[in-house]
Parts: sequence; structure tokens; C-alpha cells
Amino acid sequence: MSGPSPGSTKQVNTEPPMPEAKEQKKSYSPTKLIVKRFFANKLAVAGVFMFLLVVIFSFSAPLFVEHDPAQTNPLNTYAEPSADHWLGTNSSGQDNFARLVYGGQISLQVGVFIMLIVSVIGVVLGSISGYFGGWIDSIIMRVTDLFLIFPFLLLVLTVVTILQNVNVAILVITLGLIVWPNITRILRGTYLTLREREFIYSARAAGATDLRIIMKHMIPNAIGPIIVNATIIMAQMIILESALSFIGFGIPAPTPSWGAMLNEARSLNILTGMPWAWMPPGIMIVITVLSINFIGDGLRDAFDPKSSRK
Amino acid sequence: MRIFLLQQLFLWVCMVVVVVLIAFLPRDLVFVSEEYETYGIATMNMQLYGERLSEYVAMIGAGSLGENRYGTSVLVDLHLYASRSLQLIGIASIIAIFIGTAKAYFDTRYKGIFARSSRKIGQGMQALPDFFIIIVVQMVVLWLFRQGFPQFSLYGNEDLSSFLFAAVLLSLFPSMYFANIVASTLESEEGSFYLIAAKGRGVKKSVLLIKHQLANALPSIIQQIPIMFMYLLSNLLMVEFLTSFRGAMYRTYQAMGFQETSLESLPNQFYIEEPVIVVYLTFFISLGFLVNIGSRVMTEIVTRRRLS
Amino acid sequence: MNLKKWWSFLLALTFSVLLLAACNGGDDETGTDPEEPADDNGEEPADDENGDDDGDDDTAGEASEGGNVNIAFFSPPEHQFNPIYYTSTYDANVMDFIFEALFRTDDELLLQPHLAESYELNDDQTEMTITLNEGITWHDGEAFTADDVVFTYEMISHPEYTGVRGTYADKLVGYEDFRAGESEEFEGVVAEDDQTVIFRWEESSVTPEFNASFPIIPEHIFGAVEPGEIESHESSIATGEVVGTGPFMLGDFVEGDQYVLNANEDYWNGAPNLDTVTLQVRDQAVITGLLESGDVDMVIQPDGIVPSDVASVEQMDNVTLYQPQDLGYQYMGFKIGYRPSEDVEAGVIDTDNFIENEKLSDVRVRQAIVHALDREAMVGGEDGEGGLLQGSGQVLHAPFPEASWAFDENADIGLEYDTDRAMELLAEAGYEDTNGDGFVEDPNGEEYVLTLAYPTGNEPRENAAIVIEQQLAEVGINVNVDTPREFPAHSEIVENDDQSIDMYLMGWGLASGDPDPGGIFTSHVPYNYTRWVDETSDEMIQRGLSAPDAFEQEYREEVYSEWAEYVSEQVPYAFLWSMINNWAATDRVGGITEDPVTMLKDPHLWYVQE
Repeated sequence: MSGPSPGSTKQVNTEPPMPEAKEQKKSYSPTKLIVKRFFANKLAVAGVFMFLLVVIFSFSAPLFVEHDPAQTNPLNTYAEPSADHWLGTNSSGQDNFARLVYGGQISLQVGVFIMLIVSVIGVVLGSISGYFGGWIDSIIMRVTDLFLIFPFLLLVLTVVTILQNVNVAILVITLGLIVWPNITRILRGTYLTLREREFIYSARAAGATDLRIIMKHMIPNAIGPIIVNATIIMAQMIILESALSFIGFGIPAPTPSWGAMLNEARSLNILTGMPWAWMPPGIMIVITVLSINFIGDGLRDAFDPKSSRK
Repeated sequence: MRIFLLQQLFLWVCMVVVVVLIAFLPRDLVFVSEEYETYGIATMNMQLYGERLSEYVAMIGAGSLGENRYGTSVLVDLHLYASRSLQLIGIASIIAIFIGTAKAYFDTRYKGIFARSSRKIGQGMQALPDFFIIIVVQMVVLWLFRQGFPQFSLYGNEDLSSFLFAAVLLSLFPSMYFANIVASTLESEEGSFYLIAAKGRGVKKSVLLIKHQLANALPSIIQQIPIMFMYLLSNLLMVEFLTSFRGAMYRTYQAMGFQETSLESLPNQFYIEEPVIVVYLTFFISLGFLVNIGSRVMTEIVTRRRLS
Repeated sequence: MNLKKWWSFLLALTFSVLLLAACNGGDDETGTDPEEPADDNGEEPADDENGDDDGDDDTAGEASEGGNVNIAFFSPPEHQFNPIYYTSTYDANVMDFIFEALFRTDDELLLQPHLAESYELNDDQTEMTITLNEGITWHDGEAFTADDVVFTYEMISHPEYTGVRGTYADKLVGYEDFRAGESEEFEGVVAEDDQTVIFRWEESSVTPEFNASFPIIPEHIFGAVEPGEIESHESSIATGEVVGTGPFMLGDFVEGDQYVLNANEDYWNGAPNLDTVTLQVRDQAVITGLLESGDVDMVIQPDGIVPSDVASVEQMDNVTLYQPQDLGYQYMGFKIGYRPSEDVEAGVIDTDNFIENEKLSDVRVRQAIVHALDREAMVGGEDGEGGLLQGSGQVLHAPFPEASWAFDENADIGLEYDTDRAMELLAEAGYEDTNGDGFVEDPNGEEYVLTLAYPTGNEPRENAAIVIEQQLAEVGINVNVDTPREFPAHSEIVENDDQSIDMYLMGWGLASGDPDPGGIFTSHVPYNYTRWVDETSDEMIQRGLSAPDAFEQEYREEVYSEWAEYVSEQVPYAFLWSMINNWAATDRVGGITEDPVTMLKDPHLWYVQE
């Protein structure tokens, strides 16, 4: 799913939970209730576990990887797995295992940072659009229309082509600036319903400023959809980054990247003869993305039990 | 409806302008010589930007959309590659809609372990990187060939077999997506009153599903088609890239300066063909809009028929 | 658009690099003796190649008339299908089917008459009278005559000519005047009658056949075109308009994708068996797959199969690999001496003035360096793993290509990889690590650092620089690797004896004409970049060319074998490797002529067997 489909089923437009959860049979606070529900979900817990493993695996790299992922060794290209090179070496003689591990750092960083950027943009614009409505709402919505109708990957490619010399920061910002419309739309919807709630009316009647209402009342109540969508964005961005690197438009060499490692599978000999070179990064992407998605599903169900599907 | 069309037209114009603005961002290469080294630096030069834009606009004013690097009109270029892609998209859409609906029917009609796992697979697959799946499929097919499976052409766009193979790869993800949409729409009808009534009267479940649930869900399903289409377009790049299918996405990708290079060819920057990029992106944008409008019109027709 | 300018600038640049790196070394400089016997040329122009293909296709099916062969390469041509203007080797692939020259190389790299029927040289090799084959027609039916030859050479000498092929003509009589526009008549190439053309050179031509081997373009087409507009004329670019004498004609093409060539039924050497040949531009990544599935029948020069895929192609039952040695080779030159800067400025080469480079003048040091280089490892394993070349190359000890008669496969030459021996030699020469920093000091106890310069543009060679640094460090030689330069800048500092460099990486073309190494290795010649002055070598080189002994090829073989041994001991160069081309064809295609430089020889003999 390299081009995150706008508003795919995964994009959850959850109803914001009522400020006072009705099912407070025992004395659980809403937060505790959410945590409890989350941990009751086996898949979600497994997701957390897997995700933590990936994070630890990637970030403790210096402890157990002795090769430098960028270090080329022209005399030892396409090596088979050995005690020294666990996953062999690539076309430049770089150690595949080191690249796998360090590549994870890049993927996770890209995912997290884009998630942050997009969430901020999404929350700000979504709040403005949903809270104020009117002309500013229609402008923002038309702009999101623009983005949503565009073949997403192509847009990214165009921008990256023009920018040239891409590094992690540029890639993150570019993607962030392109991906925000999805989450903005969803949050806008959330705000539209929130706006009609009594407690907002009462806050307004009490003379609270718009900013205060947004900050104090609306965002905390929309936190569920925000977090859920943020996790989804993160998973999508990890895929997107690897897709970009895969077709040669991502973070340039020698920075290791899972997508770039997969790119080697385009050669027939490597595709059929050296699965150790490209299978592991592929599997890592799948594991990471799946675990994040499990977490996202778990969070959605925890925040809003009604939305959970059979 | 008219307002909707006008709005779409306006958006379309905006998009095309944005594309032109982006494509012509100056990437002027300046060669710097230092001691014995010469290297190129891309610079941003606003004056040059203006010149390039006005040059382009003047060219359009003169009735030409520009030329590719061989001096052929970009429209000829577009016609060749886009028609291939359109065929591919057409076939893939049909496969996707057909398989998607069939799978959704299967998933909702039956509740057994197969249906449930088919459902899970469908949902899970959407979380996977398409290119990885395509690579794996390719590898499996190549492996089958080695096991004596009758060979067919996997790459390119000349043969029917490679064409169909690309179409199947392309339809893989959209059909899963479509199946999910249809299934959940069908299910949302589940609890409705008329179904319970019909069930009570002993109408067969399959009849119910097709005649009533599907018919009722049709408008909301059609509304999802543009999204599925976007999905398809995103996949198209990967499929064309991985199967060397010389279609519009592949061409755009090439025009962006990505060529298979060898020692003796020139650096990529020299191959970037701005007019080609603009025309192809416009083509894809237009496709998106057309599908959007089409789905809107369809929805309207379907709803109206049901109301009358 | 200014983009276009850069284009042509870069094209020119790329070309000059290619020219310098590949052609000059081999073709122009070989053979310095005007007396060089040329009588063994000109006999049996073409033997019957149809029968002697690779013997292993007994299983092949029936040969059939007609049909199509698909040929793939990686990058699209630039669409300049005029021999006098093209620069890209991909365009050359298209043109190889269409245009022909008076001479072409045979499988031993000797130039043989092709469009020419026979020729005669005068005694001092300043004049060559060529008789053309009769009955040759252009694709449009016009007769091919001596006027076309004259016209072609006039065009590449014309004042308005902006291409880069002038080197074929610039030694002809009257070139300067004609080029400057001062004379209307070009005395260098004259048509005696329709079938006879005379080439005249200012000085004795060492390689007359080569100079006369430029592809001929039709006068009846381009004669009517302003010389300055030939490049953009439709007969240089458009389908159906490109006219040559070759076995195939340019048919429909989809630019950047595929180029169909239609058989020329009236081809003078016999009508082609095939109906069409389709040249396809395909991704490097999928080409091997296309070959396996039979979608592509041949993968050809310049790139061939990617070295890392060779192993899997070898396993394909339906594919035959053609792996001729590439005629380019790489070496590391030792700057044994430098010209003083006055001489450089004056363009003088005087061996007496050479300034000795003390760091490398001791032959033991040079030998030590060669012993320290693991060249086998650089070339890499046979199975496509490892090395700079993934096995697609071979270690070289002397500058003779395998295909050449001067190559002595039994000669026991070259210094093998032996770090102990290297350290021994260094110690003998007085280079020892006196301060314990891991690197040797020179006999005076001074720090000993060798500077290595290398150019960009050839990936294995670029990587070699780092490998050499590492391997020399292992025997204690400290190498300072310069940042790589663009090729023209690099060749300039090498040529102009920049005294800051001690060693340099470069490539030469292996002799593709006469194997005489004098053009590069004689002490006083400009291409002796290492400024290696050695009387023994000069004497041997001289001996290889001196009449009457040198009329006997066997005698020369002996001399060159001896010289190869000597040069590999004296090591003015550390010869590194020559590449191997990895071309391939499926068994569907028959009649392919094996040739050391091209897959595209005599395509009219190709046939399809089902």
C-alpha cells in the first residue's frame, strides 16, 4: 500500500467518546478504562510487543553490529551469508545485516517524524476547519480535495525529483506537507460533531475564548481519533518511504534503507538466487507495519468499543 | 450538479497550474570547476524560473504542448504510452470489481473458517507494501517456471501474457480494498428491517444478498470507486516499474530523469523532460477527475432510480 | 534551451573520454614503421562464416527463412543516425546494421576490405588506391560509387562540420586548407573513377586501413543538403529516410523503446535471411528474465548482461553466452619520470630532460607494489560473486589481447600476488619501517608516501583506487589517494607530468590493429606517460618491426613474447585487468558470427530456428 488511499477503510472516523463514559460501572477512570480495554486485546498487545522488538532491534544496533552499514568493500560484493556477514553483502560489498538494522532506524524515524508533522498540521487545520466552519472551512476542504485526487506517489516523486539532494529531513518535511489532508478531513468531521455537544455550548456560554475551547475541550475529546489516525499514518509512511527508496527516489545511498535493500531484488539473480539479501528487509517492513496496524486497531477499539467490527 | 462540475473544473485548473509550477522549478545546473574537479550544482534562480514559465506559457499560446527529448510532440508520446496504461487500468478495474464483489459475497454469505480467514487476509494485505508482494509473486512465478510450469512472459507489454500478468498484479490490491468496502457496506444493511422481514418470509440468503443488500448498497459502493481508483493508480507505478511495462507511469518516471543508466550514458539530470512531466501528470489528474465525476453521476442515477 | 547546450557539451565530453580511453591507444598509435608489411591483408575477404558457429547447437531445429530477432540493450539511442554526427554507442548499434565502411576488422582484429574489393599502398604509405566492390547499391537503389567515399570524407573535413569524427581525415593532404574553407577541392581523397578512390596522406600513414575505415554516407542524399544542416536533416534521423548500404534498413520505431530494422533484399553480400531485426531498449533489471523467457533473443554491446547476472544466465539451457575479451584494459601507471615544465609547455618530449622520480625509479619497489596487489581478487570469482568485476574480467600481464597473434598463452609472465615477496623486495631496496608507524620509510629514513590519482567514470576502476590503497598498506606502503577527477582533468595532469602524482589509474585500448606496442611504450613517444626510459625495451620494440625478419609473423611473435616478459618484470605499469564482455543469444538465433568486438557482424547471415 504505497499510495495510502485517501480515506481507506483503515481511516477510522470514530465517534469521540462521551466526556463522561456511560459504562462506568466500577470506579475506573476513562483513561484506565481505555488502557484496560487495550490490553484485553490480544492482537494489540502482540502488536506492541512486536513493535518494541523492532525498535530495540534497530536502536541497539551499535551493541551487536560490528559492521558500518555505509562501509563499502568492493572486493567482497554479493557475498553469501557467513559468520562475518550474517546476511551476506550487497552490490557494493556493504554488510546486509548492518544495513537491515540501521535501515530500521531510518524507517522508524521517518515514520515517527512524519506522523508528528502530519498530526500537528492535521490537528491545527482540522480544528480550524471543523470549529469555525464557513468560508475558511470550505477553503481548507477544497485544498484537501486537491491533494486527495492526485496520484499520491506521483506527487511525491515530482517534488523529490525537483528538490534533488534529498536527505531524511527534506523527505520527512516533503511527505508531511503532502500527506496532511487525510487526517485533516477526519478530524474536521470529528470536530463538527463535537461542536454540537452540550459541554461546548456551556463552555461558550461561560465566555471561554475560541482558542480555549479548542485547546481545553475539543482536542482532549478528539484524542482518540487523533492517536488512532496517527498510528495509521505512521505505518503508511514507513511503507511509503520504503517504496520511494525502492524506486530510487528515497533517501540516497549510502544511508541504509529497507526499500533500497529491496531494490536489489530487481536483479533476477538476486531475486531467485539470493533471497537472504532482500527477504529480511521485506519481512521487517511487513512486521513493523503490521504491528503498528494492530496497535492502531487496538487503540481504536479501546477508545471506542462501538466501532469494533465483528 | 452544475455547481459540482464547475467546482471540479476549477479544481482541475488549479491542479494543472500547480503541476506546471512544480515541474518548471528551476534546476539550473551550474558547473563549478575547482582545481581539477568539475561538478554540477543545481541552483534556484527566480529569474530563470520566470523565464522558463513564460517560455512554456508562450509555447502553449502558440498551440504546442512541447516536445519530448527526441523532438516529438508530447501528445504523440502521451497517446502511445497512455493508451497502454488505460487498457491496463481498464482490465485491472474490471478484474478488481469482479473479484472484489465475488469475494465480498463469499465473505458475507459464509461464516466458516475460510470466509473468515479470507476476510482477514484481505484486511491484512492492505497493510503490506505492494511492491514487496509483487516481488514475492514474481519470485513464486519464476520458481514455478523452473519447476516446469509452462512459461509465459512476465515482463514488458508486448505479449498478451505479460499484459494480463501486469493487469492481475495491478488488480490485486484494489480488489482486496473493494471487497472490504463492499463487504462492510453489505453488512451495514444486515440489521435493517426489510432484511429481517424478508428472511422471515424464507427468502434465500444468496437472493437476499444480491437482490436487496447489494442493490441497496450500490450508491455507497459506487462512491468508493474513485478511492479504489486512486489506489489503483498508486499501484500502477509499482506494477509498471516492476514488470517493465512501458506505460504512462513508467514514462513519467523516465521523464523525471530516472533512466537505466550505464557507464556511457549521461547523468540523469539531463534527461528530465518538463513538458512530458506536465502532460502526463495532467493526464493522471484528469483521469482522477473523470472517475470522480463519473462516480458522482452514477450515484445520482442509481439513487434517482431507486427513489422513483 | 540552455539544456541543449549542456547536452552537447556533455556528449562531446563523454565522447572524448571514450575516445581517449579506448580508441586512441589501440588504433592510432600502433605500428610506427612505415615499412610495415601489409601484404597479408587483402586476401580472402570473408570466409564462410555460416558454418562455423558454436558447435553445440546440434539440437537446434530447422533454419527457417524470414522471421524476426529481438535484440536488447539498456539505454535509448539519442536518435542521430548519421555516422558523421552520432556520439552514442546505442546509436551505433542501430547504425551497425545500416552503414558500412571500406574496411572492417576480422576476428583477429585485422582490418580487411569490406566495401573495398582490394587496395594498394605505395612504398612510403602515403597513398592508398582502393578499388571498390562492384554492384553495391544504396537502400534506395542508387549505385554506391567512389564519389560517396569522397563526399563522406569531405563532410567530416568541412568547415561547417561540428562533429567529432575529424580524426579520420585530419592527416589527409589538404585537410587544413579544406577545413579552414580556403580550398574547394579536398586533395586528400580523390575519386579516380566510379570504382576507384585514392587516399593521400601528408606523412606516411601508420594505419592507412583504419583511416580509410569510416562509414560511408550517400552523396546523392546529403549532397543536396547544406553541410551545416546535415545533422538535423531527416535522412539523419527519420524512419525510412536513413539510407545506407548495409543489410538492414531503418524501419518504424517507437522512440526510446524499439527500433525495427527491415531486411535489405538487395544487399550486395546476399539478401538477409531474416525479415526484420528489432532493437529494444529494456531495463537492465529485467533483461535477463526476458532472455530466459525468450522474449529477447540477443543481449549485446555495449553493456551486455550485468556481471552479477552472468551466473544465472549460464544456467539457462536456451542461452549461449559470448564472452570475448573487452579490448579496453585498466592499468596503474608508475610515474618513473617527469618532463620538466618547460618541455611540457613547449610540447617537447626529450628523454634526456626527464626528471627522475626517485620514489619509483627502483624497479624492486615497482615489483614490490605489483606483488602486493591481489589482482585476482579485484577481478572476482567466476560465479559472479565478489571482486570489482564480479568475475567478468581477467588479470592482465602484457598489453596484448587474447585474440591477437602476439598473445602468447604459454608465456610465464607476470608477478603473482605475494605479500612476503613484496616486503622482501622493499627491504632489499632499503625501504623499511624505521619509526614504527606501520609504513615503510625510504632509504634515507624519510617518510615515504605515494600519491595515487584516478579518474571518475568507470566504477570498477574507481573502486580499485581504494582497494589498491588498502592492499599496499598491508605491505607497509603508504598511499595517498587523491580525490577523483573528471577524466579530461585527470588525463591532463598525467600527460603534463604533474609532479605531485606518483601513480595513476587509466585505461588503454588493447591493440586492435597491429600489436606493435611502440606507440605507447617507446621511450620518446608522447603516450609513454610513465616516462619510462629503457633501451632494452626500445630495442626489442624496434626489432619487432625491422625488416626483413619482421615479415615473418613467427619471428615477431617471439620478439613480442620476449618483450611482454621484459615489460612485466620492469613494470612501468601494473597491468590490472581487462574486462570480459557478456553478450548472449538464445538458441533460436543461428548464424551469429563470433567476433571479438561486436555481436552485429554480418546480420544478414542470421536465421531463426524453431
